[in-house]
Amino acid sequence: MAKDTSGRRFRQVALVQKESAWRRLRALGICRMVFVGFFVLFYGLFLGFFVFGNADPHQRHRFEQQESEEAALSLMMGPPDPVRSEMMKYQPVSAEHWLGTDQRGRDLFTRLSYGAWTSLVTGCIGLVTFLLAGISFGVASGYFKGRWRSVIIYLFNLVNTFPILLLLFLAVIVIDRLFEDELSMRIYMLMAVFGFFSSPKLAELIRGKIASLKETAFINAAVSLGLSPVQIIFKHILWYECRPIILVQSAYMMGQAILVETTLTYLNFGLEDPLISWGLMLRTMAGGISTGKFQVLVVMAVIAFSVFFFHNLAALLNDLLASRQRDVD
Amino acid sequence: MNLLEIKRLRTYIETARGLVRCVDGVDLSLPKGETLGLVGESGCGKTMTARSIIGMVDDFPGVISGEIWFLPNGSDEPLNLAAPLRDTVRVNENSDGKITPDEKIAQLSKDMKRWRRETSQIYKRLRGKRLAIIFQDPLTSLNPYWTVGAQLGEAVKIGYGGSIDKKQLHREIGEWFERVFLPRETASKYPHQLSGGMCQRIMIAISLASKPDLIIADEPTTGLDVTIQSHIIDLFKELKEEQEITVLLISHDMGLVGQLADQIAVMYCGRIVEVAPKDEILDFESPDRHPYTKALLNSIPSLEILRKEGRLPTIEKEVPDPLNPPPGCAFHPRCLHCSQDKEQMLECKRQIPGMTQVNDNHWVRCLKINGQ
Repeated sequence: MAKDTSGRRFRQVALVQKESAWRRLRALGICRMVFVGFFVLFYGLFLGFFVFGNADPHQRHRFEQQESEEAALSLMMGPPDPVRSEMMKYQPVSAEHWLGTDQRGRDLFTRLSYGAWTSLVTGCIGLVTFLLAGISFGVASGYFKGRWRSVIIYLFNLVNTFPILLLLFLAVIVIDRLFEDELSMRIYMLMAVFGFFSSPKLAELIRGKIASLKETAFINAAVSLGLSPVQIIFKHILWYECRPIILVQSAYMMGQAILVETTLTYLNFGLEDPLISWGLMLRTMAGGISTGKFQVLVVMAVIAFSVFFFHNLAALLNDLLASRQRDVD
Repeated sequence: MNLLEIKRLRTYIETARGLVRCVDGVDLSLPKGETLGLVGESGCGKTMTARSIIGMVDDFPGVISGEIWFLPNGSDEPLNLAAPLRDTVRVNENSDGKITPDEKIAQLSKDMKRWRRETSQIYKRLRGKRLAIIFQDPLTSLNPYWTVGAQLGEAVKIGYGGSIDKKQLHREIGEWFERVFLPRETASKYPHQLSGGMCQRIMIAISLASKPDLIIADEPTTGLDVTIQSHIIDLFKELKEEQEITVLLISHDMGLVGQLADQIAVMYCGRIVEVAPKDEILDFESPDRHPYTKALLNSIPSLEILRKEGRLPTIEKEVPDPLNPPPGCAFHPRCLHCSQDKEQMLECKRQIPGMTQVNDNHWVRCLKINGQ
C-alpha cells in the first residue's frame, strides 16, 4: 500500500516537472511571444536579405554595370542592387521593388536591409564600449575606498551633467581631424564615444550592487575562505548578482545606440553618401517628407520599430530574470 | 609548542559615542588536536576575538596590541599573525601605553593602510588553507546564487591548492556531503532550498574541506533548533575523532561547549576570567571558581531547579555598557561576593585582579581567590 502511494506520488511529481518547461514559456505571455516572433521576423528578413545579397554594394555595383542590366531585374539573380538607380523616382510597391524605390530610384527594401546591418554594427560598437567602460568603472568604484572612489564618482556626475549630443558634436571635430580620409571611421568612433559617455549609468548600478553586498555575511565567508577581492568581485558579485543588470542595460543601450546613430547621421555628423544607413536615407529623402511620400514613413517606421524592439527586449529580459531571481530568493 | 597562542590581545573600536574595548588583553593557548571552548554572554567580545585571530576586524583602530602565534602544520617556526602591529600602531607617550575609555582615540594612532596591506600579506597564505571560520548565520553565509555543491567545490579546490580535475572534484564533493550526513544530490540545490541545519552542515563541510589546521566555530548552533544542534554536536564529535582537528569553539551555550570542548575559557567584558579543563569548569562544587562562571553554570536551565525555585535562575543586573565598563573587576556590580560584603566591593572596585593559578591548568581572575 505504502509502496503504491509513493509510486503514484513520484509519477505526479514527474508530471509537474515535465509541464514546467511549457509553463515557463506560457509565463512569458502571448504578447511576449508575439513580440519575440516579430523581432526575429524583422531582423531575420533584413539581415537575410543583406547576407544573401552582396556584402559590398560598391563592388557589386561596378560589376553589374559591366553586365547587362536585364540580369539584375530578375529576382532569381538575387536581391535588387542597393545603389543601382533607375530613372523612376519614388516608384510604388511592386514585385520587383517590395517597398518601392527612393528619390533616386534605388530599391528601398535592399537599402533598408543594408541600413539594418550598419545600425547593428554601429550599435554593437557602442554596446561594447558601454560594457567595457561601465563594468570597469563600476568595479573600480566599488572596489576602491576613500579618495579614489570619490574621484570616480565625481567623474560620473560630471559626465552626467553634459548633454550627450553636445559631447558627440564636440567629438566630431576631434575625430574629423584624426581620421580625415576614412568614411566609416567617424561613426564608429562616435559610437564608441557615445558608449563611453553613457557608461556611468551602468557603472553606478554595479557600484551600488557591490557596495550593498560587500558587507554581507556570505562575502565575509568568502573572504575568510581566502578568496582575493578580485576573485570575490568577479566570481561572487559580478557574474551572479550583476548579470541581470548588465543584460537589461545592454538591450536598452543597443536601442539607444541605434537611435543616436540615426540621429547623428540625419544631422550630417555621421555616415556619408556611398555608405548606407537609415538616418542617411531619411536625410536624403527629406524632400519627400513635404510631398508625403510613403517611403519616408517606411524608413521612419523601421527606425522606430528597431528601437522599440530593443527597449522591449530590455523589459522582457528584466521580467524573465526578475522571475528567476524570485525563484532563487 | 601550541598550535595557537594568543598573548595580551587588545581589539578596540572607535564608535560615535566613544571607545569600545571589545577585547582587552586576552591570553589563550590552544594545543594541537584539542578543542577550546570560549564562553560568555552576548557582547563580551567572543566574536571580536575570533575575528581578530582571522584578521577580519576592519574598523578603526581594530587590533592594537598583542601577539597571535600560529604554528601551521608541517612547520616548526610559529608565525606571529599580529606582527604588523609593531610598525603600525603608536600609542602616545603621555598615556603610559594605557588607554582608559574616557580618553580620546587621539592617544593612539594606527596606520590603517599599511596595517591592512601587511595583514593581508600574512593572511593570504593562511585563510582557507590553514585557518577557517564557521560563521554564526548559516543561511546568509552562503551565496544565494550558487549551488551549495559549487560553494563546497571552491573550498575543496583551495584544499588542493587549485589543481584538481573535475572528476575528482565531483567525487570529493560527494564524499563531503556524505560525511556531514547529507545526500549527494544536495550538491545541486541552492541555499534557500535547504533548512538551517543543512546549511550549517554545509558551512561546516566548507570550512573542513580546505583541510585547515585550525577551525574557529563562531556560535555554530545559534538559530538552530535543539535536534539539529545535537546533530551538529555529533558531527563535530565524529569529525574530531576522524580527522584530529583543532577547534576554537565560541558559544554562549554552556551545554554545547561542555559536550565538545577539552578546555573552557570564560570571557567577561573583553577579558578572560577563568580558564580550566572542561571537567574543572563544570565541577560546580569546587570552591576555586570565578563567581561569574558559577553564575553562568547556575543559569543553565533545568527542570529540577524550575520545580524547586518556581523560576529559572538568572545573573543579577545587566551586562555593563561596553563604553563605560565598571572600574576594577568588571564583574563586581553583579558579583555575589561583593553584594554580600561591602568592603570586598570597595576592594574589587579599586584594582583589576590578575590571573591566579589554582592548579596546573586552572587559572582564575578573582581577588577573592587571590586572597586565599
